[in-house]
Amino acid sequence: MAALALAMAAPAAAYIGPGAGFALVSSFAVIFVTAILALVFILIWPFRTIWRILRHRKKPKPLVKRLIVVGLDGQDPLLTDRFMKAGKLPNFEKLARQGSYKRLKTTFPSVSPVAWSSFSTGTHPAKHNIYDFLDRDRKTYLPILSSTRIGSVEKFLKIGKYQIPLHKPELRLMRKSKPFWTILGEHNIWSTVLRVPITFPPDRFYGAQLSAMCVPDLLGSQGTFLLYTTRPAGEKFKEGGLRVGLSTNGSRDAFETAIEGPENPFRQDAAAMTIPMKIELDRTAKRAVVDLDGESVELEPGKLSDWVKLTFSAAPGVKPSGLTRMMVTEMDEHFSLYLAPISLDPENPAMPISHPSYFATYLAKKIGPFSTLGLAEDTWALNEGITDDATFLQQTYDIDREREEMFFASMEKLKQGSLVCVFDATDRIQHMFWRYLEEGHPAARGIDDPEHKDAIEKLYEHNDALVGRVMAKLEKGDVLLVLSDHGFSSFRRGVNLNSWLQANGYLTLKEGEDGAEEWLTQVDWSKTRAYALGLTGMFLNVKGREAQGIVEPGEEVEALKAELIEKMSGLMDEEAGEVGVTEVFDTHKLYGGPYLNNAPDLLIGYKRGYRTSWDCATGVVAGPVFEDNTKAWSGDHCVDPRQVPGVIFSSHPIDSDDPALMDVAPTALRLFGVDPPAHMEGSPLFETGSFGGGAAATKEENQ
Amino acid sequence: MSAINAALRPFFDLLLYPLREAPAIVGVTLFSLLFGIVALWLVKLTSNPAKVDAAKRKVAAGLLEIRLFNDNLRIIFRAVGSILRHQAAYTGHLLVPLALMILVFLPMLAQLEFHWGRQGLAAGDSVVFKVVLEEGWESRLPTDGGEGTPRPDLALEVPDGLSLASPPVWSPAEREMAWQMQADAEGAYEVGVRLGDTTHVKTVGVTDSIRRVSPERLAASFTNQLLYPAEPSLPRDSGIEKIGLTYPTRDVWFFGWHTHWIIVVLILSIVFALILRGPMGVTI
Repeated sequence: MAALALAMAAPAAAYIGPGAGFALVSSFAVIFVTAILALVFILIWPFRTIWRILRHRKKPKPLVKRLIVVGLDGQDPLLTDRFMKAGKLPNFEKLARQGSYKRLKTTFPSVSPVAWSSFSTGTHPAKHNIYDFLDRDRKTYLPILSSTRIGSVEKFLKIGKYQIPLHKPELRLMRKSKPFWTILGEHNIWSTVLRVPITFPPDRFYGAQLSAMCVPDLLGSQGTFLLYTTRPAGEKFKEGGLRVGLSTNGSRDAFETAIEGPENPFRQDAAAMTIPMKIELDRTAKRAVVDLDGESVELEPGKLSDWVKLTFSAAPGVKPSGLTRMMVTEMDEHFSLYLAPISLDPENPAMPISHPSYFATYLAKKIGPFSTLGLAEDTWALNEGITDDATFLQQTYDIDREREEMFFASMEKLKQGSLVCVFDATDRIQHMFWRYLEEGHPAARGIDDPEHKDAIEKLYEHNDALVGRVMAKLEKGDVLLVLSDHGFSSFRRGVNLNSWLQANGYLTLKEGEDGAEEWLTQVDWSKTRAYALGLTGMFLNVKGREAQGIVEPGEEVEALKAELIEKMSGLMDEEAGEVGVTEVFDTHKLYGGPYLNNAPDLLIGYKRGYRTSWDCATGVVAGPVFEDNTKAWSGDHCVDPRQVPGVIFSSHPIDSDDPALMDVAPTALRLFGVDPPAHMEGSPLFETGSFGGGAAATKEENQ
Repeated sequence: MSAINAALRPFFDLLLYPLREAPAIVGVTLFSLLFGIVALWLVKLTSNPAKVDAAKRKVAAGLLEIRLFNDNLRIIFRAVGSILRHQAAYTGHLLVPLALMILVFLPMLAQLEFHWGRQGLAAGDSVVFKVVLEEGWESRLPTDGGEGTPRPDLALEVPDGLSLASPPVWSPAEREMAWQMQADAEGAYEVGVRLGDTTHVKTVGVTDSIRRVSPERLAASFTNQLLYPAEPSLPRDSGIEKIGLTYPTRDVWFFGWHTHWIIVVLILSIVFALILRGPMGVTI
């Protein structure tokens, strides 16, 4: 056909130029490729169908046509009840009336990576191996990501100052056990899984998946924002930010700098790839023009840009790219430019973020650019006071809109099977705006009449509208589950467990050190019996397990655990006159499984309003045990899990009296006629008989 | 159009003068680069990159959709429909630049066709030189006054370097007078065609280098001027439809393939435009 196109173009009189050539050749090429693709798949379709029938002779008898799961990370039952009672959540009410609304038991601990792993695998953490965001390196005691191991390239072909990597770095998902979509796939049932935490690198199964939590940014971090500023360098950002000084070069309205990207794997000195950036200010017109190697972006102070593509050059033909959003945060005496963490470009991701690999590209072509970063909403920039409430809300809702678009695009394509999508806005906005929800929150001191004091109420209304839109798209034979992985509570007071351990003789600092350095680097391990790391876990320094362990396994470990449980359960916050820790749990008594040895020895059940302090979370062994939390991150859920259950709404009545997050995976299997495997600890939420003829909600009922 | 051609002819002669002894592919490549750049510039100037990009993205999404949901015939058929729809939109978004390209490129390409599309005669070649008269010439033009079927009073004035190898042959049905003409030596000649008292001139090129050669001189009309600009048109009242001779066609060598130069321009200009669209910041 291409040859035909050329032959047709031969007569000189008919030739009208290269533009026509483009249109002609590209049209022919597209039509040609489309025809071939369609033909190939249509021709092989009967064979694939026969193959599938032969391969899955024992075809399960599904009770439903489609299972749609909408995850609203962190939607809290108490707030849901409150807003429902006020008549602000009509769609949630309707869904509850039609089917069920119940509390949903969360996991120990009640943190998203753990909870969503239990959701997907139907097991306790001891079987899926995820206990927190962070784990510790047993040799160095330094924190490592609990869900993913990202290795490095060891073998190179070296040519002068350049090198060619001879293999890809190892990338391994540490979550064990099979998620329910993999099992459904084994029975030839399609699933589309969008942004469910702890799916990086993605699972391989019959279906499509877009990874979420723990997908790094282009710099390899979990989200590093950049601030280009003329302000003299101050303290370094506590979390997730880099400050780059701008020098005026003679003019206070023109700056030349560079955006530093990831290390160049093709250079032996591992120098960072850069994109030259020029900034020109027009103070009268109140605008800044940012020139990125020829591409220019116009910015108005206080307004977030759309996605800006950043393309770095590693080697000829190797151009890792990322997406960022920019905002001029000040343009008066000083000038500051904020760049959101650089997401991997979904059209051309530098790491595997979807299954199949082109699924992310497909979504980007379908709905446009979107954030791929695990924790996409820039909570750190708001925490550090770089961005403001309005900017954070805009970022978060924009990301939510992207998610919704991909969700509905996927729902429209799903004929039979499951669709799971987790929306993170609920979690992020509650984390950052809880301070306005209750009187006297330390993080709201000095803010008299905040503009976004009703941000959480509006968020629940926003979720309600989403649920309404989903219900309107339900068809006969669909079951809709709307659920959250945990609830939420206030974070007014931080607890530095390491300070407590030090004060009580369980943790010792090196001679002359004050413990102010991060990541427990000043701890004398030869004299330390216990340490806290992560958001809820406490570890004993066990001989033979930790590199410098001193606590003998067996009786000594058990005795120490019992001693700590006794001392810390009911730990009083004398300053506030409240109990800070309700109960401490021995993980070996909570659950059992092949990965139990990787669990923290103890889990701390904080009272609502308390959480591990910022210092403790970053391994600082200094300061008071209890202190006010004054950061914008003012709500949390890392408390006693019994106090923060999630919610579950179902379009079909739930038969279980005490549903748990772990029950969703076996439920999904049962709905498609697949028996849950024996290792799954959850139980199906619905009795098989309750479906009668099969279908749950009808389209008419939902409109 | 005549005035434009009168300006373009010496311009292109001058432009191609340095390339007259080089293989045709050299000039073709240089002009392809120029066309690629001009095409991109026109697209940049007149198209809406956001709309072009959106259409392209939807086409790509459709193709990936076919691959992703290859078990579902309904989705495959809908994706095919979506691809065709968005491809049509893509072409539609480029219509304005395409129209401008026609305007800009057609006169240029028509000029180049008479440099690269034909070879000059070689010394020793023999060709048929024809003069075709307009319909109804008998009532308007002088005849030789003989008896029987009227015959036009036509004669050729051949310069040195060319010679006539046979007396003219008159075909009344075709209204055509033909001479066998011999090219004796290299040169750019003007043959006089005398019709009664009036003489019209027709160029004849005998050369082995790349020069403008004109196979036909035609009666004045817009289309003739547009497509055959190598010589001025014949005056409107000349009574002659065309004066012509046949030059051998020239093929351009392109990676072992001998083909018409315009196909090579088509391919190379697309390649150059694809390479340059990034640096020029053009969405196509």
